[in-house]
Amino acid sequence: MKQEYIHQVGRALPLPGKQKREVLRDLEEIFASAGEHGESEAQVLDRLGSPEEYAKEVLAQTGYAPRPEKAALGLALSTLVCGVCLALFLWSQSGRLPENAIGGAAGSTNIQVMGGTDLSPLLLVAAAVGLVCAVWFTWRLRRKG
Amino acid sequence: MENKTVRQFKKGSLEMVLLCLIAQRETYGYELLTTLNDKAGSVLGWAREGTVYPILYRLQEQGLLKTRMAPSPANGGMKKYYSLTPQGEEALGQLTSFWEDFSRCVDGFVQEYKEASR
Repeated sequence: MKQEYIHQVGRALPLPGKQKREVLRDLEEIFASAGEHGESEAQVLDRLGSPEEYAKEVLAQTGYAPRPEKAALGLALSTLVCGVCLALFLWSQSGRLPENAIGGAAGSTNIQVMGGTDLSPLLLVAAAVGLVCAVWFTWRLRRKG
Repeated sequence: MENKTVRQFKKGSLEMVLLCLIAQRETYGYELLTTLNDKAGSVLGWAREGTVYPILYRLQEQGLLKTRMAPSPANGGMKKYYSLTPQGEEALGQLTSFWEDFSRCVDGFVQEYKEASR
């Protein structure tokens, strides 16, 4: 019960690691002290309120303001990266050899097939990474909103 | 009576009351709450961890309180002890000074009203 409560408070606290650990440590001390003075876990849980309420009060008093701008910026950038990479990939694909290029000409042609490393899959990967980041930032924004 | 006005009165004074207590002796959370409740539970009744701890966090952030971990004399478990910083002492001085002026002023109005309705 106690561990579950503390865990839930942790989940409801979008604070930097060190600050969050302090709050959770303090909760452990609250239960320990109460126990030393003959109080039951239930009594403590009763007056602590729900984990969300406890976390809300803590957040209301601390100067920590979630930075939606950070997540929004991340979203914008990753969408941009995704879009640009996708566009570049599609553009690189459009310069490919047409299907019937070889063998379709009447005489000899001057078509030169350029070899070398094909980097276009990298573009696709970059676009995919951008997409994943965009989704993540969207999720972060929703969580804080 | 626990209407919004009363809640605001209590909330406004809690910070100063906590500083007053901590200024007198270094104390840990549970002890602070017990003292508060013993002295004021019937009137103020608001000493719950969920109210007090967030204020303690804010006061720490503002540099008015400092903490240190130490074994408690009673059973040796490690506790976080709170004490005032020099800025905390200064802030408390200003708060109590304001409170005295403020309460005297408000009392003036209350007394006047009471006289009038006699």
